[in-house]
Amino acid sequence: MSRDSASIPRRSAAALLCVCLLCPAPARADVVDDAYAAGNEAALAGDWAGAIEHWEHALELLPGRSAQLDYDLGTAYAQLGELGRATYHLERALQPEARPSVEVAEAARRNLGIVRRRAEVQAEVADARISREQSWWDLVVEVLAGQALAWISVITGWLLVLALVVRRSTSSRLRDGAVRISGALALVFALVFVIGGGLHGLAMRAADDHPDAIALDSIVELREGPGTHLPVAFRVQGGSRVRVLGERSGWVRVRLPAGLEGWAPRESIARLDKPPMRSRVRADKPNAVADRP
Amino acid sequence: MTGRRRFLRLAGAGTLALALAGAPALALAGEVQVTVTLGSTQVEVGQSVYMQVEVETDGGRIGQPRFSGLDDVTVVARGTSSGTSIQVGGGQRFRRATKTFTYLLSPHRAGEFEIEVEVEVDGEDHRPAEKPTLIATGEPVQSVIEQGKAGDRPDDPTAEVIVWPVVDKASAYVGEQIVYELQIWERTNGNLSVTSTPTFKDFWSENLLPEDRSRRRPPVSGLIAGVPYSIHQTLRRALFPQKAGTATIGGPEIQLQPMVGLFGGGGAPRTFVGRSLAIEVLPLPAEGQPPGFRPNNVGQLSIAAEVDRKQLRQGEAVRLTIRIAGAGNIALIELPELPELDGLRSYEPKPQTPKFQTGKGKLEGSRVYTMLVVADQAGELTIPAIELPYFDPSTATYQIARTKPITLEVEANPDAVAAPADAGQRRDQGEDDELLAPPIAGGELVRVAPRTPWLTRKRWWIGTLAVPGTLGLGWAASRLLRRFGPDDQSRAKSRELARRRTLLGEAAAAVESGDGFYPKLAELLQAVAVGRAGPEGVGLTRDRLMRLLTERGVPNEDIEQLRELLDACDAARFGSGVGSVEQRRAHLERARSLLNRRGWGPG
Repeated sequence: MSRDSASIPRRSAAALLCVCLLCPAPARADVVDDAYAAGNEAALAGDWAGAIEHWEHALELLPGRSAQLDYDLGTAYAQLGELGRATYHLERALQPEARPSVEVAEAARRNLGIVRRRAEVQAEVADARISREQSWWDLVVEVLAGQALAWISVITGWLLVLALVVRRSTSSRLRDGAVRISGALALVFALVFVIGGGLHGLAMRAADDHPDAIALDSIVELREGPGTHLPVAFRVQGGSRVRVLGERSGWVRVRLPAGLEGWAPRESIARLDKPPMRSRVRADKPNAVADRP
Repeated sequence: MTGRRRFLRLAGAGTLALALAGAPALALAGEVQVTVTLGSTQVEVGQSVYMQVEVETDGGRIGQPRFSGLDDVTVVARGTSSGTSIQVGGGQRFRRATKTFTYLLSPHRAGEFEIEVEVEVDGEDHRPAEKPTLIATGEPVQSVIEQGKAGDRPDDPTAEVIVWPVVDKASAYVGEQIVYELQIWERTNGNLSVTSTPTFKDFWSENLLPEDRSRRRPPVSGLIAGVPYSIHQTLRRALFPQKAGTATIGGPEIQLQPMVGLFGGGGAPRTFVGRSLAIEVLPLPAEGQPPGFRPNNVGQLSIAAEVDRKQLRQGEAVRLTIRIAGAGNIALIELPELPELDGLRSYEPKPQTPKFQTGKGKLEGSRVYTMLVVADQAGELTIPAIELPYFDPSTATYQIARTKPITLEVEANPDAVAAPADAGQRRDQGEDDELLAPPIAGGELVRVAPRTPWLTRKRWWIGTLAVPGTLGLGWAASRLLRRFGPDDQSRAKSRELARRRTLLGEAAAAVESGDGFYPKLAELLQAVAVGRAGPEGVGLTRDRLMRLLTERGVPNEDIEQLRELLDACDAARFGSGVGSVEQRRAHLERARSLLNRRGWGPG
């Protein structure tokens, strides 16, 4: 009897702990869904700025990734003519980590194409530079840095080890033909391992050292150094894809695919491998989305 | 005593001398010194002079110098340099840091300019002890606007550098091509650079020089009143005036960096300004202007059309390509209104990026428009000739370029989708394309948990680097084994021991059944006997083998036991049968005891 009565508070505490542990997740999910639904309503009413505000809020609360939310945000920004942010979100919607559905991927590609064409026109009008479209070489680098080559290189490396061990331990019992075949096999494994692994390592290093980013503002002025007192080297159209070379005290050094380099304020550039920065909508100008100060 | 006094006097004098010598250094320590020096205090308007601002501190943070009183002087930064020195004074060492800023000053007007310089060091402003003064003399350099000049040459042989812009015509129609060339005539030793390019605000302009600099024309020689000059072609552009009236081309500015001395250094740069040019732009004549003429279609143009196939089925589409080529402002050429197409439905033409042929005397190129044409009816359908009215400024007349009509053979297709009510009308092919796909905005937000692939970068590096590591370790281990491992004799001994164990095990396994027990035991004992006798024992009869064992010093007791066992084996194999289990067990135990005795081991 006394043992039972002693275990009641313990059980109650355990149950309470379970409830506490389980409750935040659905609550958070509800908040995300509410914010998303509010954004949907605003979008249906044609209030793109309001939709962005709610969807950005949902994105901030979302613990994981949502290609759908990124796509919606990109489309809303495109509707407002914010081509830099539109490009950024549409690009993120297409990232494999976001696991976009076929429907989202197709729509995102379509909108990205339209945004790109608009950005090209804007760049022409504003006499700004715009990154060239992704070429086959970019695709090659992307493939080289991908998981497929990583697995291939590692597996062939260990197959090479296995082939050499088997060849050595059974060399006295193998016929000449079998020895030659095992030798050729080991050579193939070695070549795939060295070339594939080397290329993957280089591509991965390049992606790590110089991550891809998007110019967010409609026009980003790239300066010769990190400071507003330094002269503007050239101007970049929002939506241009750049590579981040380094950061220093609120400034990032970026490079266009053509090789031009300059310094831009950190808030003007968003890395594609990082979660987005918060934007806000100006209350007095509902159709304009401003950067975080 | 005298010596002591002398020593004290000398020491006192030395200390005083050291104190006096170190006093300036002590006074200097912690002080900021700003010195401004001009390459020349007097300069002509349009020429440049170097100015150096030297800031000396004991390691403080030095900001960029600020200037005032230089409203009519252009100041261009030309770099900085830093240095550190150690000064010794008063028995202490002082570190002095010096930073030198170099500027290029170019006055725009004559006058006396007192240059005020301020430098911020560790948050405090410092000024030089003396304000330098720059005196500019001469007339202000201004670009002169010249009208009615086309294809002329410079005639002043006194100038070292002549900035000479030329145009091929002084008067042109709106949209007519004018070729502008910036020539630099020079007979000096130095580097020339364009500091201010000419302005073409009244024109549409296109570059005519090849992008590849190696394909550009090298400098040529020319004479002005018998004086030889080298002529550089730095700029060549096709200009298209956009409105009637007087259009102006702004004058360029060139800077010469003289090469002085053996290694070509030194000397302040000099500036030279070229003339501005005024072009008389005439409106296009209203008389004879054909219907459908577009104002940008000026030049010598041609038009051609083709389809990707001429035979198709009803409801299918062909791609119609219209190419406009020639000399003129290709980027702005407009496609004329297309004729009505009977039995055909077309979509709005999509222009492609114009292609220019640079490196020629004037701008030439082509622009391609593509459109889809759908055959709504069967039979022979014709795309009529497309007419391009244009103005040819060389003859000052309007012309019409035409394509050849194209006939399509359309096979009837009963499954073809009926033509919509507005068949025959053009649709904007990009209309649908340029509409953004709407947001998904579904009720449920599809989300995914962040998933890190198993093969992370760290794991990949470990897995990859472990391969050569393993191979290296394996190689090293094999080398070590070869170096310190068992030799051939030991390995043979091990093999023999293993063989004996195997045979003994097989015999033991056959004790119960008796199948193969004695052959295995005989094989084992024979091998043991031969092993003990050595290589000479191979192939001997049993008696001779036993004798050989005796010669080898094997105890008689062992030999007898071996013989008995072998005889028992023979008897079982070739005689009365395999015997009882007890007999076999006893034979096995005897064999074991024999093998365990000293001297019967392998080797």
